[in-house]
Amino acid sequence: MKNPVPAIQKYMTTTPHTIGSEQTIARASAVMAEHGIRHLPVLHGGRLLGILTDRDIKLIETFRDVNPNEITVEEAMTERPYTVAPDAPLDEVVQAMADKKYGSAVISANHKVVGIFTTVDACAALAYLLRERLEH
Amino acid sequence: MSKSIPTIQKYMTLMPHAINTEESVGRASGIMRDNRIRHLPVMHGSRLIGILTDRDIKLIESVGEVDLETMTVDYAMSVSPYAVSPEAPLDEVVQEMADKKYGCAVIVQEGAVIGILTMVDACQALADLLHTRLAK
Repeated sequence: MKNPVPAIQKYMTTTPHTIGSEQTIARASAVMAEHGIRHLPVLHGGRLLGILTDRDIKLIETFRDVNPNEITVEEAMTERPYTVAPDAPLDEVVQAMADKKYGSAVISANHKVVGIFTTVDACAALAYLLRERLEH
Repeated sequence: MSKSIPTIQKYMTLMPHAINTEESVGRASGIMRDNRIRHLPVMHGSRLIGILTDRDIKLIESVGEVDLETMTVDYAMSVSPYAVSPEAPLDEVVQEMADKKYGCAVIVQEGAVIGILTMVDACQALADLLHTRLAK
């Protein structure tokens, strides 16, 4: 009997923290630190607009004459992040992440962000599946 | 009967490029660009002592007023990278990468670096395994 390929929703982080595009990167930085996360989907009026990573923030903060309380999330984010539906097959999502070197996939349903799947989640999914389906 | 969990050596990138501590960050940047890679193991003599990523270099570049041709790799690298043997089980390595949020594992055999497993390799391994062993 063949094991089916699971859907991404089984391994994504559900109801991820998000941030408004008009917020400051100082605020985004605080949200990441508080929750120990490195990716924030960026919303505008409830719609997904981009993705902001700790890397984007660090890069901007190293410029001189930059005040993180004055830079908005929209200025620092990456637009049009890689987005998939909750029932997208896990193999297709991780293949795209490997090919394009994406750090994450945003999971969206009915124009709402319902989850996020990062490379850390991919490692955890791989460890789990190996242990569940194979023998040591 | 299920198959066994593979070892890391099956999915690592073999013989990665490496750099010495006393070489310049500019040279490291050139190696990464020419080979389209984002991680370089850092050697002191024949011993692995660090890892340098494109992210480390971008951070330094953005500070300004630094000369990448005179700055040495040891100034920019992270010390004590996550190192494993080629026989390490894949599930243990990716679980550790997920738990500690490591960007890569360096594979060392008898003191010599023989490979690297990055987040991109982990995503690729998951995609491949879902079509092979994990599907059976």
